Amino acid sequence: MRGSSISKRLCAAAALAFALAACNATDYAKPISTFADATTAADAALTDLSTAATDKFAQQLLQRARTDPGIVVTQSQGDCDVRSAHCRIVLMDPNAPTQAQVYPPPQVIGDLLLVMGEIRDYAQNLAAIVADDSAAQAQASVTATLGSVQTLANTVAALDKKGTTTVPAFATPVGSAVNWVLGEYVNQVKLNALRTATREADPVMQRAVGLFEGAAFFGFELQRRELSSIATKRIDDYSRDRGNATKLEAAVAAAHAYNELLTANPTDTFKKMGAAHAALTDALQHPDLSLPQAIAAIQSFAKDAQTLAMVAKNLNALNAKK
Amino acid sequence: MSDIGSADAIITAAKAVLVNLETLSGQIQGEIEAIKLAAARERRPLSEADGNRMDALEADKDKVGDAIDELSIETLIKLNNSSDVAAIKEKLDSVNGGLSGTLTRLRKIARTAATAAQVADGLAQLAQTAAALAV
Repeated sequence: MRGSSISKRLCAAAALAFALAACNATDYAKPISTFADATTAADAALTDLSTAATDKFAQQLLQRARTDPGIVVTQSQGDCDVRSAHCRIVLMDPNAPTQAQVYPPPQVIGDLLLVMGEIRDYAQNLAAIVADDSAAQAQASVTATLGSVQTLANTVAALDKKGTTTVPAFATPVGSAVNWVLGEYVNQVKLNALRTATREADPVMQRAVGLFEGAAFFGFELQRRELSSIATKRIDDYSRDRGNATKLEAAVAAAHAYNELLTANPTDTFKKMGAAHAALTDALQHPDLSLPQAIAAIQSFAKDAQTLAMVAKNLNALNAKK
Repeated sequence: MSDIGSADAIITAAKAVLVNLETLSGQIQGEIEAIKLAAARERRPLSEADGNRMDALEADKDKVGDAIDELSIETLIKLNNSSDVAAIKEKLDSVNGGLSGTLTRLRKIARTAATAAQVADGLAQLAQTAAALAV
């Protein structure tokens, strides 16, 4: 009688859990993990772009310090004394002392990198929730518990001189039911977390995409300008000395380096990051309608992000060799 | 490095200036190309005068390029200090906090089940010990 009541409650809980769940969090495991990897690649690319832009800024400051007599090279106020905590060089225009610039300069987009780092962490948190195996661990514990309870019941029955045969072997069927409910419950916790987080993050993500597009565009502009200038100069050098094979090879190599840079479209990559996140958010709210579109958008973003990360890394290596 | 507005406004203003500078750079490069084409049409190498003119044009183009570099760096710094950055970071902090809370909750479910299993196992062992003593 009592067992029947427990079974009814389990069935009701399971039915409720099933109705609430409607789909499985594991359906999103692959797209979310791809999105997290692509976001990590985009973060690496932005970091490399920032490093290259900061190096360029440092060169500009150095040139200004050497050539502009209106700039004073001095120490930061309170710095470089015997009891100072720091000793930093600053470049200062005496007519605008509040705009003094520390040399070497910090990352030009240091705060933007922090935001990108938060987005990378966010994507990895989503992936960690989907990959979390707490349900499996809890289910193993439930099975162990029910095994112990049955041992306990058998012991009590033996003590009662009634023998184990009168104790129903309930561990397996009840354990399966409990484990099924537990699995659905954990699935529901995961789906709720994914739905809530993506819904809350999406407007912020779209706003951040605008910032990253701008930062990637102007960060790349610096590189484009430099490689374009080198390529046109090498071509002109050869035009002035048409018989020189070395200069022709140098022109071809410079054109090739610039061409490689042009294969990456940094602003599109971040635009696709926003589109992929919007599609994922939509797919979590309406799984039957939009999961395939989300997967396609995430894959497109992932492809671009890997290319951008590779190009930005190569550019940094090129800059380091100078 | 004070806050100077939203990202959109910064990018729009900077791109407008950039277009003008790039147009100017393109016009200078066009003049350099014209010198090379004129020599090729006349089937002659570039003269010293051509070279000098190209040098002067390249120096002008470098100045425009330096202005593009300055504009790019200044825009990056403005974007970094824009009013959007702090607001976005604060919201992402909150979302990440919620996700960490869920991960903790999931792990608590596993821990609770494991504790229940240990208690049940302890009870079963205790009963077996008691049964052995009773026989």
